[in-house]
Amino acid sequence: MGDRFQHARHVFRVAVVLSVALVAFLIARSALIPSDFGVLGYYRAGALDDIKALPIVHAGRTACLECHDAYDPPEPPDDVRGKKLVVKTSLDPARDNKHFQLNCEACHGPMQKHVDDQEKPVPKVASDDLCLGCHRTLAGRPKFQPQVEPADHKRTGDEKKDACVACHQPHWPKTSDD
Amino acid sequence: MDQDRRGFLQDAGKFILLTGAATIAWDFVVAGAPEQAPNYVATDHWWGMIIDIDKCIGSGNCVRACKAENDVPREEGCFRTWVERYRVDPDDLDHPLVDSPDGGYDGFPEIDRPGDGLKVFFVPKLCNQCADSPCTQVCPVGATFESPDGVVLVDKTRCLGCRYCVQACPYGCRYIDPRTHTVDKCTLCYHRITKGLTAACCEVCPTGARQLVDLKNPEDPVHQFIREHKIHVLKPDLATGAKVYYNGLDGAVR
Repeated sequence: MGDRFQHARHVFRVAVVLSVALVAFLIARSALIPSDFGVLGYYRAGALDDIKALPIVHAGRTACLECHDAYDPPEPPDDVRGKKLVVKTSLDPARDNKHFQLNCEACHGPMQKHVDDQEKPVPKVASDDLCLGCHRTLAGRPKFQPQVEPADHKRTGDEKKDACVACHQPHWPKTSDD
Repeated sequence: MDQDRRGFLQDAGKFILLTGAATIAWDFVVAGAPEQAPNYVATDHWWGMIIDIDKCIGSGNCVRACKAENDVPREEGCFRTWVERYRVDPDDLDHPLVDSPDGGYDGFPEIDRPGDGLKVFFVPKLCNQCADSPCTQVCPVGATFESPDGVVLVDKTRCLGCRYCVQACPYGCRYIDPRTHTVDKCTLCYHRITKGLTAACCEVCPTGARQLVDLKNPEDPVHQFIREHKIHVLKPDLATGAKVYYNGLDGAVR
């Protein structure tokens, strides 16, 4: 054996060192790369589950309507008296509630906390800034959007009387003289 | 073979050690290979969004809702979605004036009066959830990827913060979260859409300008939308396979 391999022995030593290094690398690699990496693509498949588990902040319209059901006027049905309700339609379709298409959270903000614990109230959000955020006259707003210039819109000078909600009920915004 | 017992035992020992180590190592190698891993059935969804520029009123509801839903920092430049206002002078079409004050978070201040002569419109932007996304190609560690249902996501546990993807995205939709120093971006509210809810921005849009769509669902309104409107995607020349379809996108929009 010694005669045949004496000229190659230096190669064997290097080969041993390299193969030990290779094995060590493969073991380290498998320890560092998560087992679900590469299953679906070049990523850790568990990330999908991590992202799916993030908390929900906005409840969505369906969740609101489960309790705050809409009704047709003039009177809400007996079994839902006491709950805050949203008017849906009127007897005259021309005066239908245009705000009914809105998600409640568009004005009231994220409501999942309220859905989880109904003791937490739904805030009243009747500030002029909120209404004007969508309804202020602004160049670039499409024509179907009702827009008002606050300075020119039915000003009486009395701050209380000039508030948007003085004439417009937010859940059914058309006024009586429309 | 001229070998004494000691030599034989040494050779045998080396042989067994190396073979054993190699066998163990091979199991590790094979476990990571996709063809050995369990199959994953692709979901029945292919998510996208449709945005109707003719309906956007620039309210900023989407920007606020997104920040609330996804815990997006209020720092400058941290937006998963934002709204841009384009003001185009018909005599100078090559130079539209664009502003996006805090991404449209508080709406837009008045600059022009209607009738001033400029063409003004609002363009909400977000991650285009590209089918051939440049950003997922460049990630060195596999931290960003396209999910089997077509949503481009970020695995925060693997992200290094190298910002290669931020550079690669042609739409500028990625940002570095200053708290974690990792990349963040619109996930199409993946945590919501996988539970049957819609994205937060679409929930609160007052005019229904933004709508989440599932291109694999034959009853989804996206199919009719694409047929009935003149639709456009952002930067089609880059062939990113963007899945956010705009109606009424003016040529001035980059």
